[in-house]
Amino acid sequence: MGSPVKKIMLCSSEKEIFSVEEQVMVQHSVIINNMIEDGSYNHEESKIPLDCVDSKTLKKVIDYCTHHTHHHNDNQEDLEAWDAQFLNVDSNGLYDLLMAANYLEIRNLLDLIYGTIKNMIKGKKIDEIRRIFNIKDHGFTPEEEEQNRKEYPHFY
Amino acid sequence: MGSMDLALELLELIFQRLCLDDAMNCRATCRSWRKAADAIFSSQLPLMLSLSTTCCGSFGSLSAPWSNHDSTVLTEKWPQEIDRTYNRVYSVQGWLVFNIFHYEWFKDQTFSELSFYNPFSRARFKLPKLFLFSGGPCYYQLRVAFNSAPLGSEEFVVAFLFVFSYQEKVYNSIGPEDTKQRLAFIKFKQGSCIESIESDEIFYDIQVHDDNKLYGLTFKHQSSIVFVFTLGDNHRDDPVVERLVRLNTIQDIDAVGRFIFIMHPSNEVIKW
Repeated sequence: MGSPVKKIMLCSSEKEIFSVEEQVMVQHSVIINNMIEDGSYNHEESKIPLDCVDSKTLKKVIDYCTHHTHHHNDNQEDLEAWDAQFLNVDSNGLYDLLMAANYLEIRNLLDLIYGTIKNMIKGKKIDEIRRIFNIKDHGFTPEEEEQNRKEYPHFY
Repeated sequence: MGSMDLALELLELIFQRLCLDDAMNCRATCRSWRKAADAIFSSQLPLMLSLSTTCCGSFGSLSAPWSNHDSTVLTEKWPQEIDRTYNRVYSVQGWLVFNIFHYEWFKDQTFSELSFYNPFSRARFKLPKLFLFSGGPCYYQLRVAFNSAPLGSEEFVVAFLFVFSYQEKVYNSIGPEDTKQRLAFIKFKQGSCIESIESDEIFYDIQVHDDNKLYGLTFKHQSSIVFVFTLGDNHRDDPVVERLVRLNTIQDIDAVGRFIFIMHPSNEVIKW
């Protein structure tokens, strides 16, 4: 009989507790890896508070880490298809994931999000970018906006 | 959560991956994106400028050789006065610097006017006219240095050095006895010049390095000397030049020829 799978507790901004395999988070998150290594996490009573990550986002981050831990031997195409499906969220969801991945230092997830955002911007006109990223208040004065349209006429 | 809340450093990490055309779009998207795009692109990337003068003015086109599209990204009308013989265009830390000489014949005095243009952020400004010398120059050199790349900042220090000679001599035989020069420090605040200092030292070269110090290479009594100027903080009302330190000397150097700095990546100053 093998030893039981070690679990750690993560606590979202809504104080919801998520129990995750330790190995999954250690492998992906630099921050959690450091906490386990330097002994600052106590398996008996600690939970890791993630005050800037909401439950919905934390659940996705855990999904990502779990899938990439258990399926890292899958072929590249399958993994990419899974990643594409995983990141099929609106721009706000993408920002939340980006902030969470940045906070937890999950490097491969960060690279994936950066690549996705880059593709969302690539070749788009300014009005399209504003719509895609839900930028309602651009913060320019009417004069500056006029100047923008003059300077980049082919981008609108 | 909206896009405005995305931290500047995260935006910068995204924009680092964009090509110039896309980054220019992002500049016009909103104010926080503009800030991030400018931080990435204003000073780092090499741009190529070609100038042409026609009967209806001077035109330049700018291209980004590293861009995916390798195409001209903008065409801009340059100051009318740009002409190939009297004036020069320099590239300093991502800025294009146009130097325009004004010779006022009725006073027999020569003035210099420097215009700065950042091809990426489109920021432009002009230094006030600086008196250089009496008479017209036969030969001159100009070097410009910033205390830091003015990335959209309103305040910074510009140091510039003019070396000029009255004598019609071949380039290599101009010695210190034939030349005069002017090293001026100008502090800018909201686009207007508030301070200008001139130096009596003859400098062969000036450079501003990452440590925010200005290194001036000079030559006296067959020794080369490096002066280090500590430049005032951009964000406080300190004097422009805080102190003057003599760094080191090399003896027995031939006065004829050029002296220039080579900045070593490890911040050491090497001279020859």
